[in-house]
Amino acid sequence: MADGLKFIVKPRGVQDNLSDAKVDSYNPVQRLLCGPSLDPKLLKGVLRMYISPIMQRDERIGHSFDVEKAEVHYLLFYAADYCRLKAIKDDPAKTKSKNVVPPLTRVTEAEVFKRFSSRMEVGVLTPALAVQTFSVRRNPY
Amino acid sequence: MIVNQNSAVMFLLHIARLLTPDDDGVVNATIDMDYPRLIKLNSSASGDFLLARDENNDAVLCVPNSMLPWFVQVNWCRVAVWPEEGLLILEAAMPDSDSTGLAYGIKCRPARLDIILTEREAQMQDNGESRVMHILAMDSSKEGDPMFADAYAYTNVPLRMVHSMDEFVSTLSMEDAHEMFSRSGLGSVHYRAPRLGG
Repeated sequence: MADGLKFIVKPRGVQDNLSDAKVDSYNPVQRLLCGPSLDPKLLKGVLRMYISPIMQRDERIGHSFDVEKAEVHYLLFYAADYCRLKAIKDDPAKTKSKNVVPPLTRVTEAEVFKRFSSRMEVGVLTPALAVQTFSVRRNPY
Repeated sequence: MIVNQNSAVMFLLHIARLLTPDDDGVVNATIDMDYPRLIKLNSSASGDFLLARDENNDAVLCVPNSMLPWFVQVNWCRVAVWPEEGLLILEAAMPDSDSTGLAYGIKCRPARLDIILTEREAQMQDNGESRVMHILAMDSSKEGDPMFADAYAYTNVPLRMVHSMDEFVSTLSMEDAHEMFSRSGLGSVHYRAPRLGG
């Protein structure tokens, strides 16, 4: 295909916006754990404004991702981010810089879920659904 | 629409990170206040993409490998070229209608937008000749020496040229977008990463 391109403008760009090159995984929770922190309110707003409207019903986990159900993802992100920050806080010696990525082994999905369980007051996510969501994510493609 | 929930998650993180200041305090994308469904990337973030034409003279948008496969899991239904604003806007449709759910604006010099669609080609479209754009994966890890995939990741997105916001989106859609924007809470969010306590 490269030979077929007639001409190209704009030299290649600046950065990988995800900046998570240390993670060789497609697991969104893992990637979030290793990426920069995001404001949960911003995530929720972006989810409602941009992502939910263009989501299609996901037959594999048996429910549609309308705005309410999409809260599941928001909460998972929040929980994952919480665990990531907690890991850094628990072991500041190994994470002198705020940008240092804590080892993935320190925060497992089980721990994410465990911590997340204490944040179920919103009541949208059931444990069964969360487990299902995780299991789908483990082998996304 | 996005056909895969993992892609939706990745796209969510991508947009959220674009809207969050980086280490230098630079915000890589802004929400258009006239039409809040439009996210406009700055020059830096837009630089991740390449514009090209293939041997059939079709427009090609080259997307970094790191943004695949989730970027092409979005159902890009139209592409608008807006020379006056220097924007190439990818539009994603809602699943149950043809309405735009998300408009992703890539900044480009107006003159360079000719790579995608010229004014003359746009006029020819009015006479029934359709123009399309394809999306191609590229590996840009070696600076100055990008490599390209052997096949397109996404094909035949219809192209159009617009010259104003009225041309780009209907008044009804704009009102709908504003209503959704106010409900989303984005207007009141201060885009800051949470800090470690204690």
